[in-house]
Amino acid sequence: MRKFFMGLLVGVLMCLSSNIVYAGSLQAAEVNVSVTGDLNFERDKVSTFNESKTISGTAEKGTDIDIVVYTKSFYGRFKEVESYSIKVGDSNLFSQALGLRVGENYIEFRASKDGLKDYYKSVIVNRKNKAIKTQLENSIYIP
Amino acid sequence: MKSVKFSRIKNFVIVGLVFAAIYQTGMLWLGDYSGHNFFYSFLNIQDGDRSGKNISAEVIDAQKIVVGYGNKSFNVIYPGVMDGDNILAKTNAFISGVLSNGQYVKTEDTALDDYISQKCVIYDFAFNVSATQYFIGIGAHAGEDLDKITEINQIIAVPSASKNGTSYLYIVDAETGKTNIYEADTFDEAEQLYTEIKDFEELNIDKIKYISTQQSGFNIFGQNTFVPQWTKSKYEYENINKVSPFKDAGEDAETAIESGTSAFFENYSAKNLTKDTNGVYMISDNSTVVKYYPQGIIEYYNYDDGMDGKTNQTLSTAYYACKQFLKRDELLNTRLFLSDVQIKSDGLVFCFDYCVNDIPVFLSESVKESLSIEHSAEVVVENNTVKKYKRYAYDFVLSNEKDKEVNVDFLGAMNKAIASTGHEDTVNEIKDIVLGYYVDENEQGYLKWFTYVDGGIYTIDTVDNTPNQDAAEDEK
Repeated sequence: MRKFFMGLLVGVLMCLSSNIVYAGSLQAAEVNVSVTGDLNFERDKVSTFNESKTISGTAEKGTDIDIVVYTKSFYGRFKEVESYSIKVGDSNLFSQALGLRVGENYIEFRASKDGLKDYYKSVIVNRKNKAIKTQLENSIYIP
Repeated sequence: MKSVKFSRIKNFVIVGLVFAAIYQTGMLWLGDYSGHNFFYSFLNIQDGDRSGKNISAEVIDAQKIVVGYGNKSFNVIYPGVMDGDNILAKTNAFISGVLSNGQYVKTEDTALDDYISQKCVIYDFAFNVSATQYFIGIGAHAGEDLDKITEINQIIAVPSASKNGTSYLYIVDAETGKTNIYEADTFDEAEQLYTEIKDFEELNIDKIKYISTQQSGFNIFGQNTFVPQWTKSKYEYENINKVSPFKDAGEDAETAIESGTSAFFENYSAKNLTKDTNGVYMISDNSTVVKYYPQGIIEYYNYDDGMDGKTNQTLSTAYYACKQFLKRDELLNTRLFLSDVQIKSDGLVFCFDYCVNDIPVFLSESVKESLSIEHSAEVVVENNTVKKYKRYAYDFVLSNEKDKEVNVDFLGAMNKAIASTGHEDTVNEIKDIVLGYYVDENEQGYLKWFTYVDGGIYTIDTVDNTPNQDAAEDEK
């Protein structure tokens, strides 16, 4: 009995003292992307009177860029209205004009490349009715 | 008393007529005025006759006009030398107004992003224009502030958005690369230009929109340029058809050609028409020869020196003579825009190209070589008189069916052009990328991309029929 308990104790100690080395994945580097154009992600929400906004910038050749535009229904459901897929070529540039609906447009931007962590950003673009803009421009200026 | 008074008036009239007769006779003996009547000088004082006696100046046209709406979206037009674009007239009036009534602010390193962030009109010139000549043409009074600029390659007009605001004019000096800034308090022409820009946006809502490469952060471009971009995956368009102006003439081609070229001649009755064995028509009088080749080339030669062989020709006076001459070409039905000016041994050469629906027309190398032309039309001016004229005499008309499409965007074209250089890792500079109609010996013209990379021009197809690799893998 004593030998049994000694053996058990040694086994438990061996288990507890083992260095558990787990091959956790190294923190992979993120895809190298720079968004420099009209629509960037400096703010979470922007407003515009324009029918479209352009996302453009630079990335390494071979980077896959996916852009999806959603709108939200009255019941709060997201509906995909536009999607774009771009493969960055020799120029290292990407550019895509996005058609916008009146109201809130939820835009998701994802850049991916093998072996690298995806670059992901999102922004809400609130497209306002152009009639409001015309009204503002035509309003009487009182100094 | 009355009869004495009447007699005196009669005497004055007689003396006046005698002097006029002596003057007219002197002119008749000393110059070629055989086609002129007594009232010729008074009736034609604005026309700039071929003798070069009436020398007027014309403002040099930009190759491209870019209209910006303040939202990083632009339209591009190629101003026709014969058309009266409202936006062109309003912008010229604005420029003249600022230069004449405003004041010089400063000269600074060009900050194009700031200048074009508001509603604006940008003039892009095909060549560096003498600033002095431009100001003479636009009617601005020369002054100390205007002497700061030697050559111009870009002008940006920014009218004030409000009635009490300040309008700005930015003139980029081609020699220094710096921008001279002028400002003016509100004036009528500024308000008119601002309104015209708003109207222009509405009128051109269905036209291709452009983005600025500088605003988009595309440093691979050596200088800012405007490139087309659309929201859909493809752009649908109409191709153009090449139509001879004499296509319906049939057996009456000879009469049609004679009639179509009659405006080049002053003395109608003295013309001589021949046709040689190669099918080349030649119409001539004492000083003018016009030829029409079956390949569609029209040529004009003027051997008349004018009253005296030397007149004071400048860029703007020569351009005036050039434009006045082009108005006489009754066979010209497609818009021409100024694409270059060259100085050659026989005079100043103004080069023009066609555009349709604000998209330029590019002739293929084979067409250029076979017809010995570099541009669709070339006008040689010497002593403020057009001496030679050569034009690819076809009309280019839209097919009226939007059944063609572009599925390669400007980046796709650029990538292909870079790959075509064979040294994609060391591409130094992309000067420009233009969407244009490509015209060869065929009767239809289709859109292609013309990419200017490291001094070369690469023509890239606008349709990519390569199956999408990702879709193919998904099917597997």
